[in-house]
Amino acid sequence: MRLLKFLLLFLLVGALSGCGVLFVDKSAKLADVEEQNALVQSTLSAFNDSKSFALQFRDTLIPLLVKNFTADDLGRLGLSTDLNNVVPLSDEELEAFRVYVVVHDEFYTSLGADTTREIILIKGDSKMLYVTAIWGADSLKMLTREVKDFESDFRL
Amino acid sequence: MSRILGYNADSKSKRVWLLGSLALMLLWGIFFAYILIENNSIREIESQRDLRLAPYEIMKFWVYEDVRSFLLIGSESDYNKVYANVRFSDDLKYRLLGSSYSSLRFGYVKDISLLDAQYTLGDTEGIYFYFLLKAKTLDQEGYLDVIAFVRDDKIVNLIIY
Repeated sequence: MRLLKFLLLFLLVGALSGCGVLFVDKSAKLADVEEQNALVQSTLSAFNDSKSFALQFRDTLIPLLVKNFTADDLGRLGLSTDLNNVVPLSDEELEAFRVYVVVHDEFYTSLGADTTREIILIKGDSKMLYVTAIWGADSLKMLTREVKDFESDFRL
Repeated sequence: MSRILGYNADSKSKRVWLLGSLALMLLWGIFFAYILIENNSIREIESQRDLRLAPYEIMKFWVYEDVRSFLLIGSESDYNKVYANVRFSDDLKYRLLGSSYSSLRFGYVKDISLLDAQYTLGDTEGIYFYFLLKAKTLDQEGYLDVIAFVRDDKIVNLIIY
Protein backbone atom coordinates (compact mmCIF):
# COMPACT_ATOMS: atom_id res chain seq x y z
CA MET A 1 0.00 0.00 0.00
CA ARG A 2 2.78 2.38 1.00
CA LEU A 3 4.69 1.41 -2.15
CA LEU A 4 1.64 2.15 -4.26
CA LYS A 5 1.23 5.57 -2.65
CA PHE A 6 4.89 6.28 -3.28
CA LEU A 7 4.48 5.23 -6.91
CA LEU A 8 1.47 7.49 -7.38
CA LEU A 9 3.29 10.39 -5.78
CA PHE A 10 6.29 9.69 -8.00
CA LEU A 11 4.10 9.72 -11.10
CA LEU A 12 2.47 12.95 -10.00
CA VAL A 13 5.80 14.65 -9.41
CA GLY A 14 7.04 13.29 -12.75
CA ALA A 15 4.02 14.70 -14.56
CA LEU A 16 4.42 18.11 -12.94
CA SER A 17 8.14 18.18 -13.75
CA GLY A 18 7.31 17.24 -17.37
CA CYS A 19 4.93 20.19 -17.57
CA GLY A 20 7.63 22.43 -16.11
CA VAL A 21 10.23 21.23 -18.63
CA LEU A 22 7.84 21.78 -21.53
CA PHE A 23 7.05 25.27 -20.29
CA VAL A 24 10.74 26.18 -20.01
CA ASP A 25 11.46 24.59 -23.42
CA LYS A 26 8.70 26.65 -25.00
CA SER A 27 10.01 29.89 -23.50
CA ALA A 28 13.57 29.09 -24.62
CA LYS A 29 12.36 28.20 -28.12
CA LEU A 30 10.38 31.43 -28.35
CA ALA A 31 13.39 33.49 -27.28
CA ASP A 32 15.63 31.62 -29.76
CA VAL A 33 13.22 32.11 -32.68
CA GLU A 34 12.75 35.80 -31.87
CA GLU A 35 16.51 36.32 -31.61
CA GLN A 36 17.20 34.53 -34.89
CA ASN A 37 14.43 36.33 -36.73
CA ALA A 38 15.76 39.68 -35.54
CA LEU A 39 19.26 38.68 -36.71
CA VAL A 40 18.02 37.61 -40.17
CA GLN A 41 16.00 40.81 -40.52
CA SER A 42 18.90 43.05 -39.48
CA THR A 43 21.28 41.17 -41.83
CA LEU A 44 18.92 41.59 -44.77
CA SER A 45 18.25 45.25 -43.98
CA ALA A 46 21.98 45.97 -43.65
CA PHE A 47 22.64 44.12 -46.93
CA ASN A 48 19.90 45.94 -48.85
CA ASP A 49 20.78 49.38 -47.46
CA SER A 50 24.51 49.10 -48.07
CA LYS A 51 24.05 47.52 -51.49
CA SER A 52 21.68 50.33 -52.56
CA PHE A 53 24.18 52.87 -51.27
CA ALA A 54 27.08 51.18 -53.07
CA LEU A 55 25.21 50.87 -56.37
CA GLN A 56 24.99 54.67 -56.59
CA PHE A 57 28.77 54.74 -57.05
CA ARG A 58 29.23 51.75 -59.32
CA ASP A 59 29.61 53.72 -62.55
CA THR A 60 31.92 56.33 -61.08
CA LEU A 61 34.01 54.18 -58.76
CA ILE A 62 35.14 51.50 -61.20
CA PRO A 63 36.89 53.89 -63.66
CA LEU A 64 38.71 55.32 -60.64
CA LEU A 65 39.88 51.89 -59.46
CA VAL A 66 41.92 51.24 -62.59
CA LYS A 67 43.91 54.45 -62.03
CA ASN A 68 45.96 55.88 -59.21
CA PHE A 69 43.59 58.00 -57.22
CA THR A 70 43.70 60.04 -54.05
CA ALA A 71 41.39 60.62 -51.10
CA ASP A 72 40.32 63.85 -52.81
CA ASP A 73 39.19 61.93 -55.90
CA LEU A 74 37.07 59.72 -53.67
CA GLY A 75 35.82 62.78 -51.82
CA ARG A 76 34.54 64.25 -55.08
CA LEU A 77 32.33 61.15 -55.38
CA GLY A 78 31.07 61.76 -51.86
CA LEU A 79 33.10 58.94 -50.32
CA SER A 80 35.88 58.82 -47.80
CA THR A 81 37.99 55.98 -46.47
CA ASP A 82 41.64 55.38 -45.73
CA LEU A 83 43.63 54.19 -48.73
CA ASN A 84 46.32 52.25 -46.87
CA ASN A 85 45.28 49.00 -48.51
CA VAL A 86 45.03 50.41 -52.01
CA VAL A 87 48.28 49.37 -53.68
CA PRO A 88 49.44 52.06 -56.18
CA LEU A 89 49.61 50.89 -59.79
CA SER A 90 52.91 50.96 -61.64
CA ASP A 91 53.14 52.46 -65.14
CA GLU A 92 53.05 48.96 -66.60
CA GLU A 93 49.91 48.13 -64.63
CA LEU A 94 48.24 51.40 -65.56
CA GLU A 95 48.93 50.56 -69.18
CA ALA A 96 47.51 47.04 -68.67
CA PHE A 97 44.24 48.50 -67.43
CA ARG A 98 43.87 51.15 -70.15
CA VAL A 99 41.28 48.78 -71.57
CA TYR A 100 39.53 46.64 -69.02
CA VAL A 101 36.53 44.41 -68.45
CA VAL A 102 34.73 43.95 -65.15
CA VAL A 103 34.44 40.16 -64.88
CA HIS A 104 32.95 39.95 -61.42
CA ASP A 105 31.07 42.46 -59.29
CA GLU A 106 29.02 40.93 -56.51
CA PHE A 107 27.86 41.82 -53.01
CA TYR A 108 28.41 39.37 -50.18
CA THR A 109 26.96 39.01 -46.71
CA SER A 110 26.38 36.39 -44.00
CA LEU A 111 24.13 35.98 -41.00
CA GLY A 112 24.81 38.76 -38.49
CA ALA A 113 26.87 40.96 -40.85
CA ASP A 114 26.22 44.69 -40.52
CA THR A 115 28.32 45.58 -43.57
CA THR A 116 28.37 44.29 -47.14
CA ARG A 117 31.46 43.13 -49.00
CA GLU A 118 31.67 44.03 -52.67
CA ILE A 119 34.24 42.07 -54.63
CA ILE A 120 35.17 43.47 -58.02
CA LEU A 121 37.50 41.63 -60.38
CA ILE A 122 38.71 43.72 -63.28
CA LYS A 123 40.53 42.07 -66.15
CA GLY A 124 43.15 44.08 -67.99
CA ASP A 125 45.85 43.06 -70.42
CA SER A 126 47.44 39.95 -68.77
CA LYS A 127 46.63 41.34 -65.35
CA MET A 128 43.76 41.07 -62.91
CA LEU A 129 42.76 43.72 -60.40
CA TYR A 130 41.20 42.36 -57.21
CA VAL A 131 39.17 44.97 -55.36
CA THR A 132 37.28 44.57 -52.09
CA ALA A 133 35.03 47.34 -50.83
CA ILE A 134 33.31 47.08 -47.47
CA TRP A 135 30.14 49.15 -47.45
CA GLY A 136 28.06 50.37 -44.53
CA ALA A 137 24.52 51.67 -44.90
CA ASP A 138 25.77 55.16 -45.82
CA SER A 139 29.54 54.96 -46.09
CA LEU A 140 32.48 53.17 -47.62
CA LYS A 141 34.20 51.50 -44.65
CA MET A 142 37.23 50.00 -46.36
CA LEU A 143 38.81 49.64 -49.77
CA THR A 144 41.57 47.22 -50.79
CA ARG A 145 43.13 46.72 -54.19
CA GLU A 146 45.83 44.45 -55.50
CA VAL A 147 47.04 43.43 -58.93
CA LYS A 148 48.11 39.95 -59.97
CA ASP A 149 49.16 38.42 -63.22
CA PHE A 150 46.23 37.07 -65.09
CA GLU A 151 46.03 33.30 -65.46
CA SER A 152 45.22 32.11 -68.93
CA ASP A 153 42.58 29.63 -67.75
CA PHE A 154 40.84 32.15 -65.50
CA ARG A 155 37.08 31.79 -65.93
CA LEU A 156 34.06 33.13 -64.14
CA MET B 1 -20.38 -4.68 15.39
CA SER B 2 -16.91 -5.42 14.25
CA ARG B 3 -18.34 -6.82 11.01
CA ILE B 4 -20.27 -3.58 10.52
CA LEU B 5 -17.17 -1.52 11.30
CA GLY B 6 -15.15 -3.71 8.93
CA TYR B 7 -17.75 -3.22 6.24
CA ASN B 8 -17.64 0.57 6.77
CA ALA B 9 -13.85 0.64 6.71
CA ASP B 10 -13.84 -1.42 3.50
CA SER B 11 -16.36 0.81 1.82
CA LYS B 12 -14.51 3.97 2.91
CA SER B 13 -11.23 2.59 1.61
CA LYS B 14 -12.87 1.68 -1.72
CA ARG B 15 -14.34 5.18 -1.97
CA VAL B 16 -10.94 6.73 -1.24
CA TRP B 17 -9.37 4.53 -3.89
CA LEU B 18 -12.07 5.38 -6.39
CA LEU B 19 -11.77 9.11 -5.76
CA GLY B 20 -7.98 8.86 -5.74
CA SER B 21 -7.96 7.01 -9.04
CA LEU B 22 -10.36 9.50 -10.59
CA ALA B 23 -8.26 12.40 -9.35
CA LEU B 24 -5.14 10.77 -10.74
CA MET B 25 -6.80 10.07 -14.09
CA LEU B 26 -7.94 13.67 -14.20
CA LEU B 27 -4.43 14.86 -13.45
CA TRP B 28 -2.96 12.63 -16.13
CA GLY B 29 -5.63 13.81 -18.55
CA ILE B 30 -4.70 17.41 -17.80
CA PHE B 31 -1.04 16.52 -18.16
CA PHE B 32 -1.51 14.91 -21.59
CA ALA B 33 -3.72 17.76 -22.75
CA TYR B 34 -1.04 20.18 -21.61
CA ILE B 35 1.65 18.22 -23.49
CA LEU B 36 -0.50 18.25 -26.61
CA ILE B 37 -1.22 21.98 -26.42
CA GLU B 38 2.41 22.85 -25.59
CA ASN B 39 3.71 20.67 -28.42
CA ASN B 40 1.43 22.38 -30.90
CA SER B 41 2.44 25.72 -29.53
CA ILE B 42 6.17 24.84 -29.81
CA ARG B 43 5.59 23.64 -33.38
CA GLU B 44 3.85 26.91 -34.17
CA ILE B 45 6.71 28.93 -32.67
CA GLU B 46 9.19 26.88 -34.70
CA SER B 47 7.17 27.51 -37.88
CA GLN B 48 7.66 31.24 -37.36
CA ARG B 49 11.45 30.88 -37.61
CA ASP B 50 12.81 33.02 -40.45
CA LEU B 51 14.69 30.55 -42.65
CA ARG B 52 15.55 32.87 -45.53
CA LEU B 53 19.28 32.64 -44.86
CA ALA B 54 19.34 29.06 -43.61
CA PRO B 55 20.06 27.37 -46.98
CA TYR B 56 23.00 29.75 -47.57
CA GLU B 57 24.37 29.17 -44.07
CA ILE B 58 24.17 25.39 -44.51
CA MET B 59 25.72 25.46 -47.99
CA LYS B 60 28.53 27.70 -46.77
CA PHE B 61 29.87 24.88 -44.62
CA TRP B 62 29.96 22.12 -47.19
CA VAL B 63 31.40 24.45 -49.83
CA TYR B 64 34.15 25.42 -47.37
CA GLU B 65 34.79 21.78 -46.50
CA ASP B 66 35.18 20.90 -50.19
CA VAL B 67 37.48 23.87 -50.83
CA ARG B 68 39.52 23.01 -47.74
CA SER B 69 39.92 19.36 -48.64
CA PHE B 70 40.95 20.34 -52.19
CA LEU B 71 43.58 22.77 -50.92
CA LEU B 72 44.95 20.26 -48.41
CA ILE B 73 45.57 17.44 -50.87
CA GLY B 74 48.97 16.11 -49.84
CA SER B 75 49.10 12.56 -51.09
CA GLU B 76 47.62 10.24 -53.65
CA SER B 77 45.16 8.82 -51.12
CA ASP B 78 44.00 12.38 -50.23
CA TYR B 79 43.62 13.03 -53.94
CA ASN B 80 41.50 9.91 -54.45
CA LYS B 81 39.33 10.74 -51.45
CA VAL B 82 38.82 14.32 -52.63
CA TYR B 83 38.17 13.17 -56.20
CA ALA B 84 35.45 10.81 -54.97
CA ASN B 85 33.81 13.12 -52.44
CA VAL B 86 33.97 16.77 -53.51
CA ARG B 87 30.90 18.27 -55.10
CA PHE B 88 32.77 19.85 -58.01
CA SER B 89 31.19 19.84 -61.46
CA ASP B 90 32.88 17.44 -63.89
CA ASP B 91 34.44 20.36 -65.74
CA LEU B 92 35.86 21.89 -62.55
CA LYS B 93 37.12 18.50 -61.39
CA TYR B 94 38.98 18.09 -64.65
CA ARG B 95 40.40 21.62 -64.53
CA LEU B 96 41.52 21.53 -60.89
CA LEU B 97 42.25 17.89 -60.19
CA GLY B 98 43.25 16.66 -63.63
CA SER B 99 42.97 12.98 -64.37
CA SER B 100 45.59 11.70 -61.92
CA TYR B 101 47.58 12.77 -58.88
CA SER B 102 50.66 14.88 -59.44
CA SER B 103 52.97 15.73 -56.55
CA LEU B 104 54.07 18.87 -58.41
CA ARG B 105 50.56 20.21 -58.42
CA PHE B 106 49.46 19.49 -54.84
CA GLY B 107 50.86 19.33 -51.34
CA TYR B 108 51.93 22.94 -50.82
CA VAL B 109 49.28 23.92 -48.28
CA LYS B 110 49.74 22.27 -44.88
CA ASP B 111 47.02 23.93 -42.85
CA ILE B 112 43.95 26.05 -43.51
CA SER B 113 41.79 28.05 -41.15
CA LEU B 114 38.62 29.94 -41.97
CA LEU B 115 38.54 33.65 -41.13
CA ASP B 116 35.39 34.74 -42.92
CA ALA B 117 32.70 33.20 -45.09
CA GLN B 118 30.04 35.11 -47.00
CA TYR B 119 27.63 34.63 -49.88
CA THR B 120 25.62 36.53 -52.45
CA LEU B 121 21.86 36.84 -52.15
CA GLY B 122 19.07 36.92 -54.65
CA ASP B 123 20.91 35.58 -57.68
CA THR B 124 18.76 33.05 -59.48
CA GLU B 125 21.55 31.47 -61.55
CA GLY B 126 23.56 30.33 -58.56
CA ILE B 127 25.30 31.51 -55.42
CA TYR B 128 28.80 32.91 -55.06
CA PHE B 129 30.58 32.08 -51.81
CA TYR B 130 33.56 34.06 -50.58
CA PHE B 131 36.04 32.64 -48.10
CA LEU B 132 38.93 34.43 -46.46
CA LEU B 133 41.39 31.74 -45.41
CA LYS B 134 44.63 31.68 -43.49
CA ALA B 135 46.90 29.19 -45.17
CA LYS B 136 50.13 27.71 -43.90
CA THR B 137 52.73 26.20 -46.21
CA LEU B 138 55.99 24.58 -45.05
CA ASP B 139 57.84 27.86 -44.77
CA GLN B 140 55.26 30.66 -44.75
CA GLU B 141 51.82 31.78 -43.72
CA GLY B 142 49.48 33.95 -45.73
CA TYR B 143 45.93 34.79 -46.66
CA LEU B 144 43.91 33.29 -49.48
CA ASP B 145 40.75 34.76 -50.94
CA VAL B 146 38.50 32.15 -52.49
CA ILE B 147 35.38 32.66 -54.58
CA ALA B 148 33.30 29.58 -55.29
CA PHE B 149 30.32 29.61 -57.61
CA VAL B 150 27.68 27.04 -56.75
CA ARG B 151 24.87 26.00 -59.04
CA ASP B 152 22.48 23.08 -58.46
CA ASP B 153 24.42 21.95 -55.38
CA LYS B 154 27.69 21.68 -57.33
CA ILE B 155 30.72 23.94 -57.22
CA VAL B 156 31.11 24.92 -60.84
CA ASN B 157 33.91 27.46 -60.50
CA LEU B 158 36.64 28.29 -58.03
CA ILE B 159 38.82 31.39 -58.02
CA ILE B 160 41.71 31.50 -55.57
CA TYR B 161 43.86 34.60 -55.23
